[in-house]
Amino acid sequence: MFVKLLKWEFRQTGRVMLPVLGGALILYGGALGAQALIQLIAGAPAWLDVAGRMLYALSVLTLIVCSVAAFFYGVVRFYRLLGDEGYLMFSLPVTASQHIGAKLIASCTWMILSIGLSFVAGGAEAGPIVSTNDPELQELLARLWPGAPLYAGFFAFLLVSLVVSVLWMYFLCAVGAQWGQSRFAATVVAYIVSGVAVQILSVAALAAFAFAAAYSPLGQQMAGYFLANPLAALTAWVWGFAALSAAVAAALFFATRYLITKRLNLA
Amino acid sequence: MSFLQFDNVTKYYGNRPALQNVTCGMEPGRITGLLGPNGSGKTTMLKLAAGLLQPTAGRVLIGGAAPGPETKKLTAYLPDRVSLPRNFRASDAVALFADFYADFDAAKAVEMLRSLGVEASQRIASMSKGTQEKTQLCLTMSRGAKLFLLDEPLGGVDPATRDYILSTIIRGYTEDATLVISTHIIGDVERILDDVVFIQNGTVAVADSAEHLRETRGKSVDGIFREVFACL
Amino acid sequence: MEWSIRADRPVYLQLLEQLEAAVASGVYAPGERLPGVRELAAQAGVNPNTMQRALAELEARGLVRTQRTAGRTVTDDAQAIAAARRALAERHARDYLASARALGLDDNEAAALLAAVIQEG
Repeated sequence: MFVKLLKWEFRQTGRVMLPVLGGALILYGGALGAQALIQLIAGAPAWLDVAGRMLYALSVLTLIVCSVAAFFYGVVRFYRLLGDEGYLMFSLPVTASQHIGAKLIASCTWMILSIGLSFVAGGAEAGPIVSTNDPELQELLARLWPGAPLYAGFFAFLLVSLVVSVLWMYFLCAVGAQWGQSRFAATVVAYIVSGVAVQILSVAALAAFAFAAAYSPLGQQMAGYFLANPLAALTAWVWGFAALSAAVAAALFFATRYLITKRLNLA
Repeated sequence: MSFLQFDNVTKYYGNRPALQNVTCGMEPGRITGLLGPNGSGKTTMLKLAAGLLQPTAGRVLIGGAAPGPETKKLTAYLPDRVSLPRNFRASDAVALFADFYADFDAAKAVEMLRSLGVEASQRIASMSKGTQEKTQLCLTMSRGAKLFLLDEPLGGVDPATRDYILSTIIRGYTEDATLVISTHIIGDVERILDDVVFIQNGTVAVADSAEHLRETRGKSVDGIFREVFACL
Repeated sequence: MEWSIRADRPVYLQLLEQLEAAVASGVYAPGERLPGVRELAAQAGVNPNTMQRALAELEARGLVRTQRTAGRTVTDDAQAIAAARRALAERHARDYLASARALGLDDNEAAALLAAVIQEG
């Protein structure tokens, strides 16, 4: 059943996302085509170069817009789930976890795809394709290799943060849905209030952390370790944050699930 | 043995009681009318049975089990509003039902929709409200479910549509299915009911077979209803 | 067949009466196959269980038969149909007499009135 739900979620979101992504890739193809033409034709006109660069810029922009749109579209879909559509969706022989999971996976997939493509498109401007036998590249890779766990940790942290940002919005929708008739207003209020609360808490936590680092014996110890072994310490921190974010994601998931099962009241 | 059983069910929305100590059972092979004024708790009872709500106290049992994905497989719920996604086409809705419900008869649904003039490629958003409601009804009645929960299926329809809906419901009847219809307009629907349950202010006021009520009180169920709820 | 079901009397009795009348007057011919219970119920706009109950009673009165392969059919027994027709007509006659008496006519006046109406055609 979960696979079916996921399939439907991709099918529905795909109808909106694929044309936009396709459009971006067409623009990018146009830019590549213009570049190829310039290289093939001896006296290529100037506007071809301009057109090529514009197409390229548009394609990258579209991809960036895509990532943002994927986020908002995913939130809107979850919001709708807690409205009239819920009468149909929650009657399906599917658990609440599966509903949340399917929408989360689909939404994050489109976001990651868009962001990934925008990096690839953006990075490809960097010049001719580099061969893996290039000695400079090999030396660069050798120097960067020890930091691989750090980059991986960084990447993991970004990924989990993306998931947290989506789940956070789902949670807010579920909270807002507790106010039946004024669901939309309640969701917006929850968004603002939670945003302010998180800001205040972050500043407080940061202050506490700085204080502890400067004045506590453990803090001194950790500072010493950090200075001796910057790479390892940084890697540990990044992975630590990734794990913390994963815990926050799990908490949000279960809180949202609780709200849409025990406290579900479709408007 | 009742297929759908309410055991001392209480449901509060915040501080407001919607149902209080409701106990009743709906039998398979019978059509039960859940009758009461607006806001009496009928929709709440159906939503509890459909698994869209959790009771504050008491239990709802479907075939002996609490509502969940397993009972939803054999429950067909028709809500009192249009719940099909606006951007769906009729064909999408049929495909969704076919995908998730093993007891769904897609050919029958398509045929019913065609006889209502609904094309497969038509978007839900472009249909009139009446057509949207009929589409939902067709999809629901094309299920071979063990429990049918129909919330105000006759709300605000013209007499011809009403006859069509009633005849669809009668034709959808099977001996092993439990049918529950909620309505506040009793005159139209009472002749198809086996049993009636009057709900007043979240409690059961009367629970009996329609024919027994007619024989003992010498009135139509509609007439009895007006008596029972006269003070409102 | 036209059905006229009121909600203030037991539906099963009304179905029985109207089915009897249909058989007696030949709306359903002798030996004719009846539609299925669900179909009849849908036509009459009533509950299938109630229709089933009326059909079962109709069968007990010998006006229809259930055959394993052919479903329910109207009886071929012309005498049974004639008896039902007579019984129904007699009921109407008694109703007429009761109405006439209620209006203040005596029995001779009631009989003469009936003869006059028959004369007119």
